[in-house]
Amino acid sequence: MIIDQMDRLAAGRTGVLPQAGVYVGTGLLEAAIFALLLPLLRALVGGDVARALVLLAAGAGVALVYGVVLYWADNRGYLIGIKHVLRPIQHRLGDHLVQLPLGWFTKERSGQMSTLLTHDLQMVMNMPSIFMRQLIFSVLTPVTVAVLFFVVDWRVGLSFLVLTPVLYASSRWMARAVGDGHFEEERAGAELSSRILEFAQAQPALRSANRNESAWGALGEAIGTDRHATVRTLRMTGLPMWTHTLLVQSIFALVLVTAALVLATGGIGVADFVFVAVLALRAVDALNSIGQQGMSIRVTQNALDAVQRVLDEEPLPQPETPNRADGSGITFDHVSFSYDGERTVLDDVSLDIPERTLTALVGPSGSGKTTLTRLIARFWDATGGSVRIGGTDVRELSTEELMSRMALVFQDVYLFDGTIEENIRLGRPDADDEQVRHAARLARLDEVAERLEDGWDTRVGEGGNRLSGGERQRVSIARALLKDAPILLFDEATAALDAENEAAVVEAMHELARDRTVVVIAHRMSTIAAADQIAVLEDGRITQLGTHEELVGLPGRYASFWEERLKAQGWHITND
Amino acid sequence: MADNEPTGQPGQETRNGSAPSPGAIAVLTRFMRPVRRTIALGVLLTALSSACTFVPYLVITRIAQQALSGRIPSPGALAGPLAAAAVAAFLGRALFGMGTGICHYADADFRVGVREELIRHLSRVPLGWFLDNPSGQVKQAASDDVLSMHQAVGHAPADITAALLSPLIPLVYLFTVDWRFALILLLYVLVGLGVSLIPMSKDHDRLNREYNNAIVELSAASVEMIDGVEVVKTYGTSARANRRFTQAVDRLADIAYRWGISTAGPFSTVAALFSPAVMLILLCALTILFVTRGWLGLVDCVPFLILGVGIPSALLNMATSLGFLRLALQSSGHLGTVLAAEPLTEPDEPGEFPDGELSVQMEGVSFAYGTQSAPVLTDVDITLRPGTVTALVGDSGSGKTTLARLIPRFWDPTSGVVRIGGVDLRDVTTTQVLSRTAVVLQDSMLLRQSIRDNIRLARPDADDDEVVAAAQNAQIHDRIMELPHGYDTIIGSDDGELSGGEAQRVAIARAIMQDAPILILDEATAHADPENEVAIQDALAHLARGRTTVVIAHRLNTITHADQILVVERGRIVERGTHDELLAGGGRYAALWDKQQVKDEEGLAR
Repeated sequence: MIIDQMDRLAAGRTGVLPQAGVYVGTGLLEAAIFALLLPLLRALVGGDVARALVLLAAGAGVALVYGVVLYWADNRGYLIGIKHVLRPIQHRLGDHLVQLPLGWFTKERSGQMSTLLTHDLQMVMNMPSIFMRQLIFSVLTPVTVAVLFFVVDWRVGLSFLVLTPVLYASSRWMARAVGDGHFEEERAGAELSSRILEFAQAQPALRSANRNESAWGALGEAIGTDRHATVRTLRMTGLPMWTHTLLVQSIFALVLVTAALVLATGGIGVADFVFVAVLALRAVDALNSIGQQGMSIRVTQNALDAVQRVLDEEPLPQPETPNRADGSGITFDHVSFSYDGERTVLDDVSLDIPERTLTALVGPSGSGKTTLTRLIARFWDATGGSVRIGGTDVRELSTEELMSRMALVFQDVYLFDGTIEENIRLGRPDADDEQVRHAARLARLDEVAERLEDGWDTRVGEGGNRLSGGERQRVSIARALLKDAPILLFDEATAALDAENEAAVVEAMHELARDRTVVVIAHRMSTIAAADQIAVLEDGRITQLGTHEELVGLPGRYASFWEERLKAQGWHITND
Repeated sequence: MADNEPTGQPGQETRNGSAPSPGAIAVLTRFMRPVRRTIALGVLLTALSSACTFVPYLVITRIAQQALSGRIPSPGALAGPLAAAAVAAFLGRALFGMGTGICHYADADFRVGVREELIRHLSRVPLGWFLDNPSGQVKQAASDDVLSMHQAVGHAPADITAALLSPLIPLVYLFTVDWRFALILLLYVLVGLGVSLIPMSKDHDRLNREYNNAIVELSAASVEMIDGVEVVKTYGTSARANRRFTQAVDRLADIAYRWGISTAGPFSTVAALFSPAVMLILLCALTILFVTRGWLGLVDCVPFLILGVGIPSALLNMATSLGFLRLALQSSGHLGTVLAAEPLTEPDEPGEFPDGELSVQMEGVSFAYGTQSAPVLTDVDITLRPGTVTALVGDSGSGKTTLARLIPRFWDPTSGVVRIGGVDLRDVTTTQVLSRTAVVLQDSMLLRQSIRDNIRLARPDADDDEVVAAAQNAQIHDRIMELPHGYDTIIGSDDGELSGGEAQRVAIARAIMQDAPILILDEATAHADPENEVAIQDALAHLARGRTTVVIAHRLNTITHADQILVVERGRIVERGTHDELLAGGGRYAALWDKQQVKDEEGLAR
C-alpha cells in the first residue's frame, strides 16, 4: 500500500500512517456533527427551542474542535509530506544515484531522473495532506451518510446502498480509463514537443533543403497523432465518466424518491426528510470526486514506483576489508566486458602497463579503447577476468583509494556551474590559491580568464557551456595537474580544438605525463611514436602490441593506421 | 552551436506571480479566436446545466416546505415533481459533460493552432535566433506553455461558468425567500474568503517566486549531478555536485514547507469554515435565531438549510479555476515573447540569382548581436571569387564563425551589404539563399528519420541510385550497408547508432545531394575521430570541388592550398593572402603557423 511504500522509501517512520489516523478522526468529528443534525432538526420542527439550543451548542463545540484539528492536521501533513517523506526520498535517491555504475547513465535515463526529481516527486509532498484528506473524506462521508440513513429509516438506507457495488466498479473503470488516456496523451505530447524541438534545431538543414513546416512530414504526423490522442482520450474516458455520474445521480434520485414516498406514507417526519435531503447532497459531492482522488493517487504511485526502481538498481559492490594498491602499474588479466550481456565489448584482453610508462591505445571507434580505460577507473566491473592496480584487484580497493590514485582527462568534460578556479579545485579541495593558479597557468587558462568579463570570477555556466570544448578540456587538465595522482588516463581527442587550444593542451599534457603511469587513447602521431608501448584494439581484442618501430614495419592494422594518419596530416581542402 | 563562440548563459525563465501583461491576454485571445464559437457553446451548455442542477434542490425544498406546513403530499402528487427532479438531475450532469467535452475538443484544435503558428514562426525567424536562444526556450513554448494554456481553453470556461452560476442561482433564489437571512449568509462567505485570503496575497508572490527559484536550482543541481556523474565519481561523492544537490533539496523543502503553510494555512481555514459540518451548524444557529425572534417561519428557513451548505464550496472551485487561468496567462505571455522575435524581412518581389557558379561579397559589413552589444564584426570587406576556396583563421571569439554565417543569412548585418552573385541577400528570399548555400556544421543536424530521407532532404524525389551515389562520395555507403536496416535505419534508433564522424559523413552526403554552388564548412571535421578523419577529408574534398567554398579551419596545414586565407581578429580582417604570402609577411598567421608546427614534434613524448 502507498503508505508503507512511503515509509519504506523514506527509510524511516514518516508519520504518514498516524496522519491517516488523524484524518479519520477528523472525519469522525464531521460524522458526529452530521449525527447531531438529526435530533437538532427534530427539536426545531417539534418547536423545542431549548433542546435545539443545547444540541446546537454541542454541535458548535464539536465544529470548533473539528476546525482546529483539521487546520492542525493539514499543517502536520505538509510537514510530513515535505520534510519526512519528500526530502529523505530525494536525499536517498541522490546518494544512490552517484553510487550506480556509470554504464547506467544513458541519456534517456538522465532525462528521466531530472524529471522525476524535480517534477513527478513534487506530487508526493501533497500526499500526506490534501490528497489524503480528500481521499479519506470522500470515503468516510458516504459511509457516515449510509449509517445515518439507516438510523432514519431502513428503506432510505437501502436505497442509498443498493447501487454501491456498481458504483465501486464504475469508479475503478473510470480511474483506469482516465489514467490510461492521460498516459497516452502525455506520450503523444512528449513526442510532438521533441519533434518541434528537433524542427527548431535542424532549421539550417531544413531551410537549406527548402523544407518548411508543411514539407517535413514527421512534424505534421506528430501534430496529428497528438490531436488524435486527445480525441481518443475523450472518447475513451467519456463513457466511463458518464456512467459514473449517471450512477451517482441515480443514487441521488433513488434516495430522494424513497424518502419522499416514505414521508408521504408517514414512515418518517419532515425533520428526517430535510435531514436526508441535506445529507444526500453531501454524499453526491463526495462520490463525484472519487474519480479525481484516484487520479492523484495514481500519479503519486507512479512517482514512488519510479523511485523504487532506481533504488533497486545495484551499486558497484564495495570490498568489506579494502586492500591497498602497491604501486601504480596496471594489469589487465584476461578481461572481458559486455554492457548488456549480449554484445562483447572487450574479449579476453591481457595487457601489462608497467609503472611510469606511456601506453598508447589505438584502434577504430567502437573497438573498446574507451571501455578499456574506464575499467581501470572502475566505471564498471569487468564481466570476466580482473583489472589490477599495483597488484591489487580494483574490486578490492575502496572507491576513495582507487580514485585517489588517478586523474582522468576525457573527451566530454563536464564542468560545474561555478568559477574556473572552483572547477580546478575539485582536483584537490585543500589546495591553496597559489597551487590552483599554478595549475591554471600551466593549462594556459589565464588567457581564457582574461577574455571573460569577470576574469577568474566568471561562472562557466551549466555544464561549462560558456567555454569552448577546448577550453573545457584545459580546465580538466588543470584539475588533473592539481590532483597530482600517479596514474593518468587520457583521451587525446584534440580534433575539436582550434590551433590556439591545441598548442595549450599539448604543452600542459607534456607537463602532466611526466613521471606518471599514462594510458592514452592516442590520436597524435608524436604521442604514438613516443609511447613505450602501443596496443592496437580491434573488435574488443588487442591485435598488435609493441613500440612504433616494431609495429610500423609489420603488415597489419597499425601500419595502415599510421599511413592514414600521415595522409590526414598532409590533407588540404583543395586537393583532389 | 559554435564550439568556439559560446553564446552566453541560457536565460533562466522564472515564473513569478506577477500580473499578466496585456500582451499575454492579447496572445491568448488571438489563439482562442478560431475556437471561440465552440467555447461559447460549451459555456452555454454549462450554464444550462447549472440551471438544471438547481431543479432537484427546488423540488426537495418544496416537498419539505409542504410537509412542514402540515400538507404532506400524497405519493401520486409527488410523482410529477419527483420525475422532474430526477430528469433535471440527469440532464444537468449530461449537459455539464457535454459542455466540458466540447471545450476539450476546442482545446485539441486550439493546441494544434498554437503549435502550427509556433512552427510557422520558427521557420521564419533568423537562424541566428536559435543560437541566441537556448533550446529550452523552444521546448517550453512548444510543450509547457501550450499545455498550461490548455487549462484556459479546455477547463476554465466551463469550470468558471459552473463555479459562478451554481452558487449564484440558489443565492438569488434565497434572496427572494428572505433577503436578511440570505445577506447574512453571503456576508459570512465573503468575510470568510476575505479573512483567509489576506495573508495569502501578501506573501504569495514572494514565496511563489522563491519556490520557483528553488525548483530551478534543484533542477540545475540534479542535471549537474547526473550529467556530471563522471566527475562526481572521479573526485569522490563528497564533492560539490552532491553537496549542491543536497542543499538544493533542503532549500526546496524549507521553502515548500513555508509556502505550503502560508498558502495552505488560509486554504485549510477556508476548508474548515466552509466545510459542510460547520456550515450546517451556522445555518441551524441562524434558523433558531430567525425563528425565535419571529423574523421568519421555520418553513421559510428550510430552503436555507438545504441550499445554503453547498454555496461556499462552489465558490472555492472558482478560486482554483482562476489560479489555472492566471498560470495560462503567464504562459501565453512567455509564448508571446517567443513569437515576438522579428522574422527576417522578405522582399515583396524577390530577385533571382544568376545561374552557375556564384561569387560572394561583403562590403562594409558590421554586425552586433543586439543593439546594446559590442560589435562582433567591424567593417569587413571581402570578395570570394566563384569556385575558389577561402579559409577563415582566427582565435576563439574572433568573429570568424559569425562572418561565415552571414553568408547563408543566419542574420542580416547591422550595416553594410552581403551579396551572392552580385545580388543583395535582402533582395531575395531566405529560401533562395539557402538553396544556393550548403552548410556543413560541426553539429551534423541529422533528423530522426531514415538515413535515406536524411540524405535526400533537399531533393525528396531523388531515387535510390542517386542517394547511394551521394553516400559513396561521402565515404559512408559501406558503413550504412553494415547497419541491420541499411538506408532505412532511423537515425537515433537503437540500431542506428552512428559515431560523430559517421553522422558528419551523412550530413556531407546530404550536402552533395543538395549540389549548391556555395559551400560553408564550419569546423566540419571537429567531431572526427582519427579513423574517420581521412574518410571525412576525402568526402569534403569531393564536395568542395567546383564550389565557392568557405572553410573555418582549426588545423592550418589543411588550408595551405586555399586561394585566399583571411585572418580574423577582434571582428576585423587583419591579414589576407595566400599561405606563402602570409608566411612571408611574418605577421599573425605566420606566428600561428609556427605555434602549430612546433607542437607536433612534442606530443606526450618525454
